[in-house]
Amino acid sequence: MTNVSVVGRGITKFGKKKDSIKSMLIDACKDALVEADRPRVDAVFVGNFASGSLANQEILGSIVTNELGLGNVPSIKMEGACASGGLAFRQAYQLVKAGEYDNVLVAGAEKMTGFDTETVTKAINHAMDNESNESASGLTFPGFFGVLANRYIHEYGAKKEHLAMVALKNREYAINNPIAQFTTPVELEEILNAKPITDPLGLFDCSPISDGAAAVMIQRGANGVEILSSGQASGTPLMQEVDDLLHMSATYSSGKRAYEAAGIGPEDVDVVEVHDCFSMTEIIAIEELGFFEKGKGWEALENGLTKHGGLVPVNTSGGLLSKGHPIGATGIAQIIQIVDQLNGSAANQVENPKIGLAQNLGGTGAYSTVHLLRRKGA
Amino acid sequence: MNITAKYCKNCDQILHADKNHCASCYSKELKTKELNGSGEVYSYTKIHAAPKDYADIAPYYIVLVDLNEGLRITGRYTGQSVEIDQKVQVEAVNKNAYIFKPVEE
Repeated sequence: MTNVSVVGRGITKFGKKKDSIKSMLIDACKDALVEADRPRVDAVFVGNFASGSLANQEILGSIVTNELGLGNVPSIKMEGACASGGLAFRQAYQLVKAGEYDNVLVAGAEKMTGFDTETVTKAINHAMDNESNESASGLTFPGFFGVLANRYIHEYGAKKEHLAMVALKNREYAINNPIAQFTTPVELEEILNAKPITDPLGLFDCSPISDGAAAVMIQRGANGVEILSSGQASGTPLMQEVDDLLHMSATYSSGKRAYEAAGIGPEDVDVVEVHDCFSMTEIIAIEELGFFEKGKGWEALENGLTKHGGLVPVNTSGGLLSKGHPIGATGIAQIIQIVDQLNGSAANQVENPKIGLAQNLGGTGAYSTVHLLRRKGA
Repeated sequence: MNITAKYCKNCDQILHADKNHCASCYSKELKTKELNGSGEVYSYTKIHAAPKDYADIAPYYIVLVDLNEGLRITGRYTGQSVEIDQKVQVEAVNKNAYIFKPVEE
């Protein structure tokens, strides 16, 4: 079987930045190329959600090839809402594995600050099916997760405190991550009493509006952290059509496909990045990916099982909640945190991890990708 | 008030009003079906941070309702407070949005 590895990485600081999407994208790509010793690049894939509507810029693929002198190699921008980065990474991986390319530069970027919140909320709402009564009712993207959270609490006996514990854990991790957007310590009380966004979710339960870019070089061969497998699945983009609101089927199925393709299970995974666009989403994800039983994810938080010294550390980067969530960059940033963990060079380094998992969600469960990675030579 | 849903003549599946074909059998032979618009709240949220088009009515409740006649639909809710399992009734359809009110028991 063909090995495919991550041989270079580059990432900007996340947060409110003056830089344009172009300059962030080029910075991240240049660092990934240099770290990989500037191999011949066969193709460029860029994950991005809303550069047209928010940053007034499309054709991100050709901007990268031109600015970095990569000649006329194929390039493309891929969109899958918040899973844009994960989708771009998956397509690149599959094409290298299939023998089409040897070296692919995969990037993700988003420029989101500089607008009022209502404008950004409207842009993010494009990640829902808007031709329906649901959108007409005024349901927002965060609102979906508020509805889910209230039902989860009702069904499984969790409390708002358990949502806050996700936000607190991820903030504590972000404090040590130099690229994170939020590095100020907070207390549980402050999280619980924060400005409400969509009940029961408050400000700290929601990922922020962020700018940033991330890039990786992937290459045929075993010269880096190995990509073991890739799983992807789709789900319904409408809340009223979800079979079971407490079950994110795209997350489950993408995980199952990735585990099966790699021939391993959740018990083999040493470090995890999941898509915590909201605190609730992290709890659902750790259940769907098989780390905890359905309805027990909140207990894992209460018992500290998803941090250092627990069962498996989750979102050691600080997650979307505190590292920041420049939408298109997120999927690549998750891969970078896992690559750094497996190279032994991560913020909040886990002791001697061998296998890592990254899960990237798009929309309210419309897309999910899961990638499993293994330490070089392990 | 009553609301209009659809159903598939071919496989009898009940469908949301905005569907133009049946996702099970791909039939485009859809008929309209009147529903009485009453049901129970499966879950809800109160939206404080609203998109631009709804900012002037925030905060507002969104409810996900299981209609007694078998469809789950999302709508807005006009009561002062809401709980899961609360009985509700459609009181208006406003610009394609279902507006629910509480039903006193």
